[in-house]
Amino acid sequence: MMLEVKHLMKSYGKRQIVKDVSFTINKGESFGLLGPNGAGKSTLISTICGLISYDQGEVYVNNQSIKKFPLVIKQKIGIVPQEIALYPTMSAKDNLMFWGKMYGLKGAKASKRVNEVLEFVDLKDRAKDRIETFSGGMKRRINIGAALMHEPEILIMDEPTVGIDPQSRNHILETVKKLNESGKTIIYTSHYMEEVEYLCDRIGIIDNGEVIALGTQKELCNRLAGGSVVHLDVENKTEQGIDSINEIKNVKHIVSKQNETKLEIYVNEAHETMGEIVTTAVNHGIKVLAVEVQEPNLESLFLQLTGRTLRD
Amino acid sequence: MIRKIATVAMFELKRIFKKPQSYIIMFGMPLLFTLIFGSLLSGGEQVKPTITIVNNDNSTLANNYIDEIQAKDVMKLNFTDEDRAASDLSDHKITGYILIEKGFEKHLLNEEKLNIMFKHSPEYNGAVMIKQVLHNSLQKIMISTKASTVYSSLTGDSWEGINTKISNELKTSSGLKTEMITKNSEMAGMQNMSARSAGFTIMFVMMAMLSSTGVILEAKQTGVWYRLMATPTSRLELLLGYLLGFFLIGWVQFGILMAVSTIIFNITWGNIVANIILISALLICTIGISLFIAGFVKTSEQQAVFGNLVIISTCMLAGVYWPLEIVPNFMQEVARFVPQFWALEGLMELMVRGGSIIDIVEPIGILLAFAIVFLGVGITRVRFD
Ligand SMILES: Nc1ncnc2c1ncn2[C@@H]1O[C@H](COP(=O)(O)OP(=O)(O)OP(=O)(O)O)[C@@H](O)[C@H]1O
Ligand SMILES: [Mg+2]
Repeated sequence: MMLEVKHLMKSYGKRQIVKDVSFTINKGESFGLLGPNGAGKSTLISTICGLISYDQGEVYVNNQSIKKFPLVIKQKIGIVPQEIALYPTMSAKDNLMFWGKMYGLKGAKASKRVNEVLEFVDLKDRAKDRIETFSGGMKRRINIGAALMHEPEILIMDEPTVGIDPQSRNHILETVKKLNESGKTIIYTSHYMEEVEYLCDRIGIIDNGEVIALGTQKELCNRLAGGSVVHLDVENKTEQGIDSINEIKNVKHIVSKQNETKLEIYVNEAHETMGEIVTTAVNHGIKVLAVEVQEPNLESLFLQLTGRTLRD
Repeated sequence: MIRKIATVAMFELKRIFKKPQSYIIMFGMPLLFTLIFGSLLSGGEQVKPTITIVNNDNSTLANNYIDEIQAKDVMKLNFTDEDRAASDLSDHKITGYILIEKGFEKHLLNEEKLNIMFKHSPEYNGAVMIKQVLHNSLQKIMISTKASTVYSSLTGDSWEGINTKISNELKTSSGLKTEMITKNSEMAGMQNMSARSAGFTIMFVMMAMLSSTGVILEAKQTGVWYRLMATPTSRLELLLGYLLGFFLIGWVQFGILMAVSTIIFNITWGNIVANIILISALLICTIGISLFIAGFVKTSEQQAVFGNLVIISTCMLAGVYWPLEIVPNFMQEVARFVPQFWALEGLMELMVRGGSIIDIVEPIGILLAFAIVFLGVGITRVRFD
């Protein structure tokens, strides 16, 4: 077990920001923390890294408590803060060098790592330029690079793609994927469902400081009552027809609003059941104009769990 | 441990000298201010102190003595009685007064111990110079008196006639007079230049110090602090690293200013070891004050505004901009509660009076006390999370 979080609690004043959070992450795993703005992702990460104290609970890295061995554990973690935590008036190289040294690298080894990291984030040609002259995406890449200098076992990334263009974003996602494939344990927070779906083996959904769902992507989606949603555009809706559709195996629930030509059918295994649904409808004289299947995703799970969307 | 401290310190040092504006505030401004204020207040009639002579003896020799002093032309002289002089001094109408006691001539003739009193305000920097003039003049009078008494005892002539002759001869022939004048007016000018140079060096070192301690607040604003706290670095290492960095930055600045002012303005800073101790104490003091202010504000901009206000006003109090003799009495007293006053006091002792560590024990002691208090309080105001 690489990382173990047990009943973690943190409050600022009277406000409980992290509420009884528990999860474990295995070595080499890539773990996503998905949650809307203000969910407490950054706060949770800061407590895990020993940056802010917590009120209750425990955090273990390699079975060592962060409270007892803060410096040992900090050495194993590389953190990519949500903000660009670099010195703007210094060059990319100076920045990387400084952070490397702060993690105990020295002399030739440090210089070698600077080059490797610059190569990895694809900014070797900008090594001597000041950070303040970089584009947003480049800054983000150096921000990640600074966390890689000491080759940490665990890489914790707090919304590393916030506020940048799609191209830079893809570049960063590829970078993270590569790091994970090379064996690094990764914790990745985001409020972009697509990012964690793409990157993460396991996902924790966090809202208001609570982990409200935890598991692999498949596990989570199966938790959705009725998995997918089939949207039907129909004419001549009949009570009887709807009841019959509702009796089909795998159909969980139907939403049919009066005076509307739409049916929302919540169903498991949508594609296999699709034919039966349409046949049943037609047999009851319901004219089907259009069919759309919405696959289950984390967004709809979040919507179902909280009644809100991830981003407003 | 040492390596981390050094890394933080050296990085801060490197960072500050990468910013072009650092050079302006650290070196350009103090030299410019020294040039302007230094030449403005030095030279000419302005620096000649007004000194009252209280002549309680009114004898021939006493008058000769006064003539002798007057001939040196380093002060504006006027004459009143002792009570008036004392009240003028406490009202700051005069810089000081010279008291020639009754029996001056008699003591002189009998070769007895003489007491010439020079009373002045404690802050008056030129007192040493005046005393020098009084002493030299007295020396001359004594020589001529001795000569004339010997002469009169040999010839039987009255000593007074002979004395006038001899002292006139001394006055014209020695050539000492003009030499003294140039030396002294130069000295007065130099003294003001030194005071301004020392003063503005102190002020701008404090300002630069303030902006360098601002990096802690800046780091918190930019998120760099967050990353620093995530590195396996203890708070002690981080704090010591920053303190060492600030201290080194302060010393680089002070060192360069000392060297440049020596070359450009021909200023002598005096005893090196004493300077190092005094300035180190001042730097620690300033770091403490800056950290203390940083503890109360949110951003480095706020710290700069508030801190500079504190620095400029206390520098005014301490006599950085102008000699303290020109401010009212109670202000001179208030000045003693400001660290810069003691730094200036110490530096002037070293620069103008050529003092050594022994002579500035008091300023150093007081500055160190200030330093310990401010740094102690300042460190406790550094918030780590
Ligand atoms: N230092 C603090 N003092 C008081 N409240 C805080 C502090 N830091 C965070 N909070 C509060 O804690 C809550 C969670 O903040 P946090 O930054 O952890 O959210 P987040 O999930 O990272 O959001 P985002 O996606 O916007 O980064 C917010 O309501 C925030 O106002
Ligand atoms: Mg956040």
